[in-house]
Amino acid sequence: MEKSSIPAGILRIKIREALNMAPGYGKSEAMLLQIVNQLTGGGIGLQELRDAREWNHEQGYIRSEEDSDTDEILWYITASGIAKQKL
Amino acid sequence: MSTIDPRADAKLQNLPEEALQDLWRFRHPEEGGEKLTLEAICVEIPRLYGVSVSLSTLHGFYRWLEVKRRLDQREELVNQLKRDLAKDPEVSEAQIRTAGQRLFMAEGILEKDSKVFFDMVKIGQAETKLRQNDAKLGLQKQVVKMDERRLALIEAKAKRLDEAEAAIRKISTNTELTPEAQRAAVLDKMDEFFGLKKK
Repeated sequence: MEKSSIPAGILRIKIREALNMAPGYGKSEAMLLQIVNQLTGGGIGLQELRDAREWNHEQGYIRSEEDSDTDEILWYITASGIAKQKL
Repeated sequence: MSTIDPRADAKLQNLPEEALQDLWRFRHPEEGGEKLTLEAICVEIPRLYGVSVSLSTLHGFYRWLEVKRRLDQREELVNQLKRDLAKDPEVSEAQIRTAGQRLFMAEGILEKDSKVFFDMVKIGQAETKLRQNDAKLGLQKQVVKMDERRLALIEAKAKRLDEAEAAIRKISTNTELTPEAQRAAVLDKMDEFFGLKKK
């Protein structure tokens, strides 16, 4: 799949923006992809999303949790991610 | 000391809730109100909030605001239903949390219908009970197996005892053996019975 025209840096911000909405609730990958596409106007592929998400994860701006009932990974923004969104 | 100046979109996103509502109304006025263009809002924002923004930043901000409002509404709805459900003493905190998360992600059933939410929790409770029953049944099966093993061991022991008794009786009544030989043979049989016989 072709990459979108959204720069990686912007996409990383959009991931945090998405997770910072209703931050008490986890978002699945599908939900995250849907929100990020709404925020960017569309065209973001799954691999692009995963790359940007992984970067945020490595920086400690987001965290994941496995839903033991559904085996689904849910994503949350961390306190440091919320602080980063204010800058 | 250097300070980082927040991005313009971050400044807008972090405006107080009231300001966000005003900005929303600029683009989505109540009936009879005037809808402002992005250009007009771009001019108004520095005056109202002391933030200078570009047109493209403002465009992105309104996309963000639309999604945020939708998710905020969904969050509020789920939180309200969770509060209602918390009044039911039969429902645990963990069940409420799990059901809340599911409902938050289930976009299709987000009409304000608390019955759906309650049903979800009740289904979850039923599943938990079924799992508990399965576990109990599994435990009972294990107990039965252990009892069967124990019974088999007791039967085997009794059989060995009967065999040993019969063998000892046979030795004791064997008139061909001297009393010493009988005694040695009995001791030998007992060693065999108790597993003490050297090979």
